[in-house]
Amino acid sequence: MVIECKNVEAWVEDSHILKGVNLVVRSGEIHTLMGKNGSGKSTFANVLFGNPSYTYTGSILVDGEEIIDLEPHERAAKGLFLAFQYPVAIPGVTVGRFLKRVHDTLYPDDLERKKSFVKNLRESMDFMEIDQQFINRYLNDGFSGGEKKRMEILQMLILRPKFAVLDETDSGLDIDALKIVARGVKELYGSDFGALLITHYQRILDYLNPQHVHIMYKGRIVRSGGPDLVAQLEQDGYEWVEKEFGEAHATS
Amino acid sequence: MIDHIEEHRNQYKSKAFAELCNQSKKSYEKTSWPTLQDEEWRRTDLGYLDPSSFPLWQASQSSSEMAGSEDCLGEYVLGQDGNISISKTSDDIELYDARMNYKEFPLFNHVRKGFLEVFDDKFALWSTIWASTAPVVRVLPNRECKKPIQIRLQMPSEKVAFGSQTSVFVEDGAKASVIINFDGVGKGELLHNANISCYVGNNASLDVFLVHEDNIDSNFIGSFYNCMQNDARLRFVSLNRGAMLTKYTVYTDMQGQGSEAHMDGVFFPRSDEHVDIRSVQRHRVGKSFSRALFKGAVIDEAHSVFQGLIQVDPKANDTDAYLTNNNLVLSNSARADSIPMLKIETNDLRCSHGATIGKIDEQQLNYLGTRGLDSETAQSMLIEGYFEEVLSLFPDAILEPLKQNLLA
Repeated sequence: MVIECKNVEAWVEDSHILKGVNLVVRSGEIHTLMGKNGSGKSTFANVLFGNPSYTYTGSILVDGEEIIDLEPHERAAKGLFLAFQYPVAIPGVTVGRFLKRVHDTLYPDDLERKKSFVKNLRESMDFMEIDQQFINRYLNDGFSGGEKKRMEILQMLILRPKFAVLDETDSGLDIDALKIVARGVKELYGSDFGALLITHYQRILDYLNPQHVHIMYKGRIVRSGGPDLVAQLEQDGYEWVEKEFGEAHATS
Repeated sequence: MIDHIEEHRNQYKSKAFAELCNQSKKSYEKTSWPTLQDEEWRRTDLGYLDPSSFPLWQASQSSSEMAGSEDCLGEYVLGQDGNISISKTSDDIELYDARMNYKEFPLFNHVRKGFLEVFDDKFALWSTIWASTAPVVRVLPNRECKKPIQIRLQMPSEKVAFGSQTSVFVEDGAKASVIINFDGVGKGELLHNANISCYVGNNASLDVFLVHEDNIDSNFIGSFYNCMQNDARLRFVSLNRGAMLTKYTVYTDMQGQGSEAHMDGVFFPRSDEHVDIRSVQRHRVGKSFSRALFKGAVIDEAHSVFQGLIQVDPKANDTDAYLTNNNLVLSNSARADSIPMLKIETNDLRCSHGATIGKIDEQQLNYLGTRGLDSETAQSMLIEGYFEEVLSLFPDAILEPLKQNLLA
């Protein structure tokens, strides 16, 4: 799968947040999107997934097909998955019932997968070190921050997308939980799966080794490079980004 | 209409029951049908409804025995043809129709007296002086019923007034659950005036599951009365679906110390249906506990009204009561009114209420969308989840068809 974002702009009410994002990502690749708070990273994730709270323009091509006007569920059907920064609770709907429903919606004709759903779910829960009792709990309802994040990755394992965006999935996790989340991503990683990690911290990158790193600043991707870019950020912070692009931006 | 009532009553095989019914005749005659001027009927316009235009209907006065079902301890079934079949598989209970087999029974009088003390509108009075069918369940003292007792009334398919008087007595130390099913789906234009009276004895426990499923030509009016003794425990769960008009009061009268009552309900009117539910948690004496939870959703042009009252008498020290009403409004033309009230005459209590009226949460819809569910599917999943808190109280054996009908 190839996702090509061309000149994506986005607004929330009157606030112009994304000012022309260009990015190409593929299955088989792991990308990282970094940037200061408020630079537009989460907005970008939301726009990729068609959140109706945002107004947006530009082009998002998935394998050459325009998806910018598609509904969120149509984008999911193409094989896209978003692990939310703040997953909402769905009271009254158990994890098991929810996952079965969305799984069967995404794979309506795959009888083999439907048959082995429960087995897969149980194995994936063990793999993610999630207690089996969570199957009967209401989705994200009363879950701790860490449990919610693990639940997002569990969903990703069950739904097997071709490309996933992880929006600060590492935030607020202790080191053990972080390793488990990374384990989930590694489990899927291969020629038919790719991921974009939106993060503030280097530590998850130590486990996932992204090949591509992008820096977002004031609604644009201002710099793309390899892992060495992360090291530079860790060492020097974002000051140099501001220096280099702040003025240019001000005059643009 | 009262003449016809007399005619009907004269046919009752049990003269004792006919006499009992006759006792509230005067009050009935003196009282007028409720109008918008009556506080409890203020939001339900009955102007279109002329009770006298509905001919009275009566079920057969004989019952046939049927083979007992393995799923329940006893079963009272009124068929659409008016025939009654009764079965029971245990001597722990009595199950009969009061019109045929009622004999003098002090608890019956006790409950009726309590009922008449708190219900004084003409429909409630009507429901005490006449019955198309009058199932009685009696659970003998200290007996524990492991399986439910079922009362299933299938409505007639013609335009009639249908009166049901259902009585449940769970005597001291006994334990039972009763499923009451008013099935009017696909039947005639009906005026169903339902009376349910439950007695929960000292240290006794009762679960009542009321399922009222009706058709759009029906009018359903209910007066439900629960009378609880010392250390009694009650759960009364109701589900209403489908009638053009549903208006009922469920009144729990906690006469005993240490009693614990739960009243729960779900309702989901659509098209131009109207639902008006009133619940009363009446704490008469000390150390009693009550919870009411009513969850509704309205769509299309439907209108729902919930009036909840917690009433705590001066002697009811150490009362713990809470009332919750949640409403989900699913269209711009639908409307939900919520009127919780407290009437408190003691200082020694914990008592409060909470009411909400809201819409489907956009963030939840978006979340489910990113997981592949279109907005219609996502919305029905959220509605189902919303009702789950109450629906999950129903026994598994009857839950799935209930859910399907409620959410269809």
